[in-house]
Amino acid sequence: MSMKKNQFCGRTRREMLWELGSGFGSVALAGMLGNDFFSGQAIHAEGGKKLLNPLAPKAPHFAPKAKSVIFLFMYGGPSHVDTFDYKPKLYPLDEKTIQIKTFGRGGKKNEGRVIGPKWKFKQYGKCGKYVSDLFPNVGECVDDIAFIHSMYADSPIHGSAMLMMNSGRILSGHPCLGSWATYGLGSENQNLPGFVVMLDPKGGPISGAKNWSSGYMPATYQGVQLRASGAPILNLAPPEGMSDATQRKILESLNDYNLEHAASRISNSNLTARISSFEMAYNMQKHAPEVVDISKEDEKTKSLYGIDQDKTKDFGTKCLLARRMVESGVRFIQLYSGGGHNDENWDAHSDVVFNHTLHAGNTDKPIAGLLKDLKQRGLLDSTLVVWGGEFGRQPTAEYAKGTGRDHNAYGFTMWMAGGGIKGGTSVGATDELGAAAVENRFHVKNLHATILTQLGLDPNNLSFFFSGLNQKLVGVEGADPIRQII
Amino acid sequence: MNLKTLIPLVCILALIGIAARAGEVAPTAEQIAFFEKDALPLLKSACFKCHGAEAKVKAGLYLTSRAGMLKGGQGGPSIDEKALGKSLFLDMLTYRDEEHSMPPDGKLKPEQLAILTKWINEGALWKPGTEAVLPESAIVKKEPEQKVKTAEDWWAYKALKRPAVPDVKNKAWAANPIDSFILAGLEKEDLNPVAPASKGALIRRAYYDLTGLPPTPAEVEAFIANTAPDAYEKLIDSLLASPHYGEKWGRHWLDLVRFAETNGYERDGAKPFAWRYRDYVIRAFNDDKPYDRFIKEQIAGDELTDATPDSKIATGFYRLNIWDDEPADRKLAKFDVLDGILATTCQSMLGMSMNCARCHNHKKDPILAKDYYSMLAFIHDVSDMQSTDITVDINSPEQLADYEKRLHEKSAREDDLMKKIAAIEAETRGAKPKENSAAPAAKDPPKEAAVDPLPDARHGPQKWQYTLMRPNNDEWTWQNYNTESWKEAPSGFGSKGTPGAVIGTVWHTDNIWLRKLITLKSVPQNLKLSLHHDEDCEIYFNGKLAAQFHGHVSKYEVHPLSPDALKLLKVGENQIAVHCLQTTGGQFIDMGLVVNAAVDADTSDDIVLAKNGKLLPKEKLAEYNALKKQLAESRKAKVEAGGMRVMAVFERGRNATKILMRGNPNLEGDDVAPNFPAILGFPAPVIPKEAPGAKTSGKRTVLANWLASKDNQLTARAIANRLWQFHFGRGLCRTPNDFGQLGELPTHPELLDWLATEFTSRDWKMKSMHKLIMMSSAYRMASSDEPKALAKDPNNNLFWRFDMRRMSAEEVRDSVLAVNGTLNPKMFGPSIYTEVPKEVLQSSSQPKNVWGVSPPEERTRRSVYVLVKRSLNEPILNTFDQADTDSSCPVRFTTTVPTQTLTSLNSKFFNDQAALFAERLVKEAGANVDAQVKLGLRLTMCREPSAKEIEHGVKLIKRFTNEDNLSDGKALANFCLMALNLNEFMYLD
Repeated sequence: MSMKKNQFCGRTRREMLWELGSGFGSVALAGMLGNDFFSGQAIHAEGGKKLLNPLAPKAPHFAPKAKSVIFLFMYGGPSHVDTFDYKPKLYPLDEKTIQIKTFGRGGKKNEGRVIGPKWKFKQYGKCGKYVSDLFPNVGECVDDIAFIHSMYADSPIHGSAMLMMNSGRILSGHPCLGSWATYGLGSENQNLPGFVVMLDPKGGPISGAKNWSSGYMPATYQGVQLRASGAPILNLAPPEGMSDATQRKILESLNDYNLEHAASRISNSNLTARISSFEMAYNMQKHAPEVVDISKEDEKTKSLYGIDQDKTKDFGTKCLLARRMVESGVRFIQLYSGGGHNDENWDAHSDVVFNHTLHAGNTDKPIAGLLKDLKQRGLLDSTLVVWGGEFGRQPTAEYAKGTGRDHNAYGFTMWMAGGGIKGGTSVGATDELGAAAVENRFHVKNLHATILTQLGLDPNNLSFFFSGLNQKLVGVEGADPIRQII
Repeated sequence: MNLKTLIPLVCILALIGIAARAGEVAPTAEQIAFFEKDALPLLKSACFKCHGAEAKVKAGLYLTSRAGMLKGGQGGPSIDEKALGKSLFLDMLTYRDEEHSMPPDGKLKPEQLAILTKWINEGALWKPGTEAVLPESAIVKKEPEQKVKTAEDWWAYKALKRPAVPDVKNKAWAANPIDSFILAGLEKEDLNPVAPASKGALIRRAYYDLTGLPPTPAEVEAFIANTAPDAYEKLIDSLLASPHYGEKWGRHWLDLVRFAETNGYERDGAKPFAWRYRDYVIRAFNDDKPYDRFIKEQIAGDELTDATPDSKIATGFYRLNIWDDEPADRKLAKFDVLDGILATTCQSMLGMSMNCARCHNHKKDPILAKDYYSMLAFIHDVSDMQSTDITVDINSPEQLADYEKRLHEKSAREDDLMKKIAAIEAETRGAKPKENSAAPAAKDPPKEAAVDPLPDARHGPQKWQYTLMRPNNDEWTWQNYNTESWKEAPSGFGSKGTPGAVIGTVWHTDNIWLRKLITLKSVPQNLKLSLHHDEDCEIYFNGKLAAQFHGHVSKYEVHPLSPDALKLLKVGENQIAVHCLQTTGGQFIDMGLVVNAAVDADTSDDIVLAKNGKLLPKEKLAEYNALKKQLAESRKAKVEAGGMRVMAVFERGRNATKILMRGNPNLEGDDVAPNFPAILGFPAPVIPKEAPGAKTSGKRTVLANWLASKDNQLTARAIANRLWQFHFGRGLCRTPNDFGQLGELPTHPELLDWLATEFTSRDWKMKSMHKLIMMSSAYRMASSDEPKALAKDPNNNLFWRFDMRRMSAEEVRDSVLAVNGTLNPKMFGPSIYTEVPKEVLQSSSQPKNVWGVSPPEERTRRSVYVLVKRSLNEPILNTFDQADTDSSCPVRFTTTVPTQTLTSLNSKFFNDQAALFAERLVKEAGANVDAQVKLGLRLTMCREPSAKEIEHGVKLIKRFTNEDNLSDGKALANFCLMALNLNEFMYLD
């Protein structure tokens, strides 16, 4: 590769790369991860196939119902008996102390002071689903929603429960749901990350980045934080004062040096992959801000998401961005409602009225807006929306006074919509006070299995070889999807 | 559940017996009808899916026949024929706890339960002839055929023998036996090694390999100019002597032991003094500590007969794990921690994935669950992180003696002062001074006035919650703190013989934490503390510090509460919390909250000071005040041990180890004794009898000696493979943590064995092995292409060339700092904080507290000193694929993704460093742009750039100034940013 005058600047990078013996696209895909160890892993994990670009789109195990997932994570644990799990018998017991088995932050207890549900429920939709007054807007969408009232999890403590909901294990170090999805399917849009996380302005959840970590998989599959304001992705914008023209010059020059360097090392595809990654980064720099630029959305749409109101502006904007990312082919999007600690999220230990009024108030309209907008654009069929927290809350109070509820992993509600989910259905039940799942109980693993299944992945066959085992999201014993709702 | 009754795998003969007996029971027609109409449909819908009808049978339990129920699964037989009502089958349906919750999707309805209960109570009778035939695999549990039956059947388990060095044709190339092994492989395939690397490439390779840093241009120049035959050898010697060697190679070890300085989970609490372990590892490499000793110190450095402070620090190895301080299931959590330690030990030191056998026998390798628990038995007594303070003071005996002497002096001085003060107080009252320690204060209670909200122990013991284990954080003072692990006991707390103490509960350790919830009907403004403390104590009301006292007293004293402290109290429930620390002598703590009680005239100084000292002559008052001041000062002054606090291993109790079915601590199976994996063919170890009063069981020493033995075929192979891996980029076996059948076969098994035996014969010394490897022709090959070899062996399995590699995360960051001249080479000590963007901090649940700030000069230290925090990854290191810290990391990934490129192009770190790089170029190369570019490229490429390359850089800078109107400085900084992004900078030949 020569660097004759005039020639370098006259050529496009594309031409240069063609001269190196391969087209830009294929170079980009080849050897993005030319690590022998990982190739070895891939052989195990992929049944003989070598994995080239770890994020290139891959064929699913079977025809998928959903292309993308939007996981609305209500961090802190929303109370099911105050939202979607109607318990008429709980109201008259308000303030009475009863025998009841609970396990929360305050340990295991055999009795407790009942806090009656603090909101009225009414029926919505053709299916007549009872929804509390906390979610009047989501209530309008119940015919598209399948409620799972009988969820249970292994831990009622935030740290481990968050890991369980995100990675299927209470032990830290395992890849998250979004990592598995992008590992299994790759990403449709190389200009955007395949797995995106949007956090609450108050901060991240407990354990921070562990909640979107790729664990023992390469960092390629970890979630990338995207922000609604400022540079949407860390380091996406060139430093202040650097013009596009200047940056192009840097990239062109860099390319020239790098091609010269690669010319005598032609068999090392890692070098060409890194050369291509500058082009991809440049494209991402250009296109990612377009995704977060909602200035061209009409007012009606913005209002649908509640962006025109203070309390719903933040989460509404995130929901709208989620839709825009789905349109751009992002595989897995996780939105956090709530961050930090205590009442900064759904963790209503002292006053459930104050806490849930705040957080449901911030999210009801945006979530309903998202569902309605996805539907009217024909995207809901191929987008799986998941709502829920790491656990629910107890029917009884945690403290001697006040209306706070402790954590409850024995029984809680999550819901799903779109992506091949049967709308207007409810499955499973907690006991009549909402203390524990008793009918058609579903473990978090079943929820994960359902999500993977809708994406066209067999949860019991999607594996990654690590630490002497074919590791799976749903564990060695495997788990079935929730067939009643798909 | 007692699984001692668990029937071991039932043999065919026994089953025939059961079948015959089952046949004898003749159900009535009514029973058959009941079975068919009521019981069977229920069994079908609730049980069969997981227990017999489908290919995958859970817990080995078949419920599709009576024989299957009698045989049972991992939990034991489903039916107890002697007590049908107590059958496990029925117990499992009760949902009485998580372990007894079947079917998993929900408890059966009462009427359904009634049917099955009736059916079991009547003998669980099936309609004859309708029982599903029990598959043969259920009768004799069939393990998949194990190909590896003895150690001789698998390469990694074979006894280590020194292979003969093969004969080769190209003798000139074979600089040492390593080359003969490599060359023999190449010659067999009719391939030739490529030409040697250029001297420039070689010095750069050697520098990064041994120190993780680039050579300076002067060093490159000198090496190239040095034509002496031993120039290269001298270079290696000097690099091995560099203190940076330990920083590079120590980091490899830190990857393997999943080094991190926090616990993970909600609080992600700090591991105290974890950095001392990191420093220990760096020192061990720099000192060329023999590897067998290095292992022994980490496994049993506290027990060794020649234990040293260093060997105790090494046992911090046991504390590096992730740890949930608030687990949902404490029993399971304890085994999770032990599993983490065992998995890491076996993977890092043996190359064995022992952890796979935690729940069942290894699927592929001849490692049984029994082997797993036998190995676990060696470390079973290791205390968990909660049960004790995990740090210890390390002192020399002289230091300890001196410390005790100073403590004693302090105590005596304070006693003397108190006596003098008491004498003056007594004199003021006109009474004779009482002996401080004479009469127990219990016989002399202060006068009762109104009802005290919280009487002290002299008025009868009060129930307090207490713990002797340091709470993980400050929340223990809060009302809703989880006190599951705390105990409740009567006050006061202390050791007998402490003056003035009223002992309700004996406490004789260093620290105690106490909690009590009291209810106040009102908050009296005359509320006072009645307190006896030996020594320092802090008192909290509702989570806030209310009062604090230093030193010790010898009787109860009444102290008024400050107005601020009173404000912390409220009508209703109030959480009182007390911490007391004692360093020497007796200890005692008790407190009450009293009203109306006159400020204790008997003991307080109030009487002296109340009337502005009018009761005393002026000189006496001055003396009194001086004494009080001396006492206060003495109490405040801490006596420092003068030693070093380190994180270390402790043992607690002597635990009998049992096999846990499916890894479930509630399903205990047979007892096991400490033992090594059977397949390796070692005799069972003899655990020496414990010396009376021994702190630890000595089992870990036995494990350590075995791990570090020359006879252990895995240890030497594992480390020899890693030595090769870290020099050549991949191990001779590509799965260095897993030498089992699921791993990869070694490409050069003979070479691996030769290296392993060579290593042990060189007394496990690493540095001489580095030199041996680096002096080989194989190591000195170029990384260039060769068409024939590339076609035949594209993966370079045979090592016909040296593989290029990208710098590791640490090398990237350190190199950027090295080339711009700002790298601070300071070694050791507490970890540092780099500058982390706000956006990254914002991802934490505590954005303001998650990360700290180090002074600018500290921020530029080497990456091995950056704090490793589990819930927050340092963004630059994370982007370039640093090791995951939750499990042992055998091989770093090398990813190339656009977000990584965005980091090296746009991040504040890279741009700031590029600007500093530009400043260095101006300073050292002057104003001449050609010279600036030349130096910039020399520094990043570690070679002389060509005229064309210089010209290209100069042209770039001119375009910045001419076309983009950038200042000279800015233009040069942009060139520097470009240079830091060069593939030639990031990759090594």
